[in-house]
Amino acid sequence: MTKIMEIENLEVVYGVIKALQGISFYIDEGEIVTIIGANGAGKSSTLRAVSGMVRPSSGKIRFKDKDVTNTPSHIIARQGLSHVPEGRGMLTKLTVEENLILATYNRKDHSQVKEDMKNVYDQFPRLSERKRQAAGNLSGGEQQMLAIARALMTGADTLLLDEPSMGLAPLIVQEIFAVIKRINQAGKTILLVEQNAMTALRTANRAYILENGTLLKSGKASDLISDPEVKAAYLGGY
Amino acid sequence: MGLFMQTLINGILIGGIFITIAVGFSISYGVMHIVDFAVGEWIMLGAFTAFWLNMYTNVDPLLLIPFIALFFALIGYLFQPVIQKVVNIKHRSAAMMALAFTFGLSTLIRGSALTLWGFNNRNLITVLSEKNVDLFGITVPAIRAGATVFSILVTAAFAYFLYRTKTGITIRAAAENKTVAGLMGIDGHRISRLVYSIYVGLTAMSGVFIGSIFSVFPDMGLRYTAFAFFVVVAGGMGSFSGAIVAGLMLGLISSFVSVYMGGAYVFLILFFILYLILVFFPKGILGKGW
Repeated sequence: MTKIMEIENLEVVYGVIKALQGISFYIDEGEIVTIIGANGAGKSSTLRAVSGMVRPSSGKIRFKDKDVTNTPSHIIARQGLSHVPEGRGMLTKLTVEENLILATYNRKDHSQVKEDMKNVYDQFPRLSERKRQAAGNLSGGEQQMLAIARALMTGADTLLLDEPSMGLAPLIVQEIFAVIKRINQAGKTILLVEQNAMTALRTANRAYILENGTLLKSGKASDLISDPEVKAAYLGGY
Repeated sequence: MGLFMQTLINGILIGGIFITIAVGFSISYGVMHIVDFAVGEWIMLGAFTAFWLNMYTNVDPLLLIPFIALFFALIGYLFQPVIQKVVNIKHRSAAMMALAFTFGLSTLIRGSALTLWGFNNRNLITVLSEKNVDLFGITVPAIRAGATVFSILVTAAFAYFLYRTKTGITIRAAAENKTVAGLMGIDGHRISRLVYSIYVGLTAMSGVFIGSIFSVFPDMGLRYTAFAFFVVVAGGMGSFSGAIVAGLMLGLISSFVSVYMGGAYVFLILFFILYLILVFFPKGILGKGW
């Protein structure tokens, strides 16, 4: 397996608050890796630093053997990394279709774009039905689908997903995670950040546990799911 | 009745020209979040450029319009990074600094124009000047009708660009949320630069029309800066359709007030109406701003 992403001693500071105190982790190509942790543990900050939304105060981020530390997010996005931000990052005034077209703006492989668009609409038939509606009028679940579909349309091979289950009904959460598994099987590498630890661990290959800006544990998701400490702290004891 | 119709048509015609300025100003504000106090100065510079070029080349000002629009678009393109730099400075109220900066810029341009060209009013003579056309039985100056038709066409082309092209989608995306657009690989700075460039080009172009309908003098921009504010606030910050409605409204209000009450009352009434709009429709008359 080749490492597609490697993070070394990543530190993020907001004013006087240290959100991340030097974490290191890696992702192999084709994996689903999840970072779980409570509110404020630094999960979103990790993703934001990786995708260039915030500047890390120290540390190194390598993506596809290139140092991308301090690279602006629009440049990183063009290298095949797509970040679906917390709260889905909808452009509510744009239609569903415009949101998808926007994602393809920098792509030159026009015939592949056409095919991807068709695939996305096949995979998410509800988006196809609502093509011409403003994204702001979609339901929460549909917006999450659109956010993932849009990330796929950028042509990215690596997806960063920030709390895709947030604010969604359990049935929809299941559906979203089925989608995540499916796109992983189609070859996408996924870094998933979740508060919904059980579902995340069941979906992922490997996991990291983040607490107060430091990594507490890491390992195979299937091992962590039965780890007594993890069980007690994150899985509600069952 | 004749006077009423005349006023109505004049108002619509002038409103048509305001629309172009309003739309450019509004979209540029929507993307950059910078209020450009120099909007009136771009109008004045556009008009003066047409005047001097016409004087030395004898080419009709109306034929100079494509050149003036492109020339000022280039100036906007080159100048935008300077404004951007002011906003990027780590300061608690960067938007305020940008406002102060464009205000200073406006004063500088107006002052320089006064020093260079004096207080004199100049007339911009075009092929349409002193000709009239019949509109619904009302005689209107041909230049007003022509300018309005042209402005509306340009605005329609701009709307098409914004709503029907890929680049237009990126502009609307950047206006709504630059961070998310960045995650989609869109360079927010590039979009800001493009939008500012289009806005300056459109505004200078409108300056040629305004200069040939009224007259050309260094202070001419001032009232249009105030008008631009009216349109953006009344139409809703950053709203395209709102800017169109507000631009038309502005034309009608200023036309009716100056005919039935006197030109001195235009600003009084206009800003009283703006006050009412802010109280009752804080998101703009169409409720589409923010």
